[in-house]
Amino acid sequence: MKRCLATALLFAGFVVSVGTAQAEVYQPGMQGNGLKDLDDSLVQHGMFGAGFASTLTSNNDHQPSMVFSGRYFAGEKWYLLGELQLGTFSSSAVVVDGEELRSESEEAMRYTFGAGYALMQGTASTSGIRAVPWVLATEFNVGEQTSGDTSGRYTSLGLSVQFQGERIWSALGMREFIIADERLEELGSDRGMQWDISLGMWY
Amino acid sequence: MQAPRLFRSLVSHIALLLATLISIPAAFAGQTYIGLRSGPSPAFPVIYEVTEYRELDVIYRRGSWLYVTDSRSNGWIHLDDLHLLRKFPRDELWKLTNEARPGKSRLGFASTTHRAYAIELIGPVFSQDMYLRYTRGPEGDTAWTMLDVGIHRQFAEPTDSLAFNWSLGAGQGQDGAGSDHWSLDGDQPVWVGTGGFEAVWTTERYFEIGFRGDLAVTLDDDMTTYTTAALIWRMRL
Repeated sequence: MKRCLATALLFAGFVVSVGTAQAEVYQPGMQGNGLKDLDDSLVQHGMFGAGFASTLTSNNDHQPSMVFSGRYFAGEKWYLLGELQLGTFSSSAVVVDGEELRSESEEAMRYTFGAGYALMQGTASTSGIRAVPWVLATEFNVGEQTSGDTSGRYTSLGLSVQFQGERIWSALGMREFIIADERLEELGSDRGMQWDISLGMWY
Repeated sequence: MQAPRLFRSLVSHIALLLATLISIPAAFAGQTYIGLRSGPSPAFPVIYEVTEYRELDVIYRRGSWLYVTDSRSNGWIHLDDLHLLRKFPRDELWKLTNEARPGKSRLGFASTTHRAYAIELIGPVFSQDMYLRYTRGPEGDTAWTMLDVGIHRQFAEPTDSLAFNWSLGAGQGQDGAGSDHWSLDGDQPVWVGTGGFEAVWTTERYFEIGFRGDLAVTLDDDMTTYTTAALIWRMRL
């Protein structure tokens, strides 16, 4: 009986050890080389996005607006920029000598074109595992802003910090601007500053 | 008898030692590492390295950069580094380089001294560069416009990144209700002849910045003349 039990134990140990040994055997596969899926790869031309902006013009209150933007890569550091901004321009009326220079709730619409240049580029990481490239860019915009019944040339210069993920990107921007609009000059509201936050995708 | 045997043994050992010393650095020098960057520019740091024998999957392409993965980590590699991969066909490299090369057509934007801005398209028509330009300034009732078309030609290229061009064209100008830019009597447009010289600096493969001096003359009895200077931004399409 003892001999039988010992034989059974030995056999079981042999079976287990053979299986383990087979699993540990190095089984090399064919290692590819070069580039794969080249034809199926997507080509990134630029990025588009939407966001929220808060604008402060002189002699006026903070005004919220929506910003839609498109960027087209013109190189490793330069990109072309187009923006459309829709929002409010005023929340209180201004009356001078009985004449209403600014009504209580004026809407503002702005379209601009410009360029951006990456001043600094780097990598951000919180975990040490994932690396997210960031860009600090200066952006110049020229276009037109319509507020109320008048319009004027809009010129701005600002900075934008962009974090570029694999599928989405986000940006935080700050700019100073001037509007060549006689009515706004009269109001003293022809210049100001704006910050905006945007989220977007590659195209 | 012992001395020659000892000498032969010593010589063979020295030869073996020399051969080993020579072969070790050669073996290490044969391994090439290719750096993958965190972003598509040399300014981004190298975050990962692969050997020349790896197979890389291409996820995105942007200009001259490829976003690749070896299924462990991802990163950007420049077209100029692809030849380091052991097996990468030359025809594929040429195809990629050709696709990343900018075209001959250019889309431009200009801001001028007359508080105007212009949008232009330059491209080859029957192997001659032509331009189409729309100029508008400044705003509201006092706005005026011009649409002109003409020849655009390079006459000097002192360096690879600097070029001098001239342009000659004709078009139509129109005044807004409160504008007398073209000194028009009514709302009818007027024919305008234009000419200009420009210096253009190619800052990057796809992008140009320049300075242009323009002359515009109305082709009527008044011959109203304007000279303008403009800053221009152009992108190669």
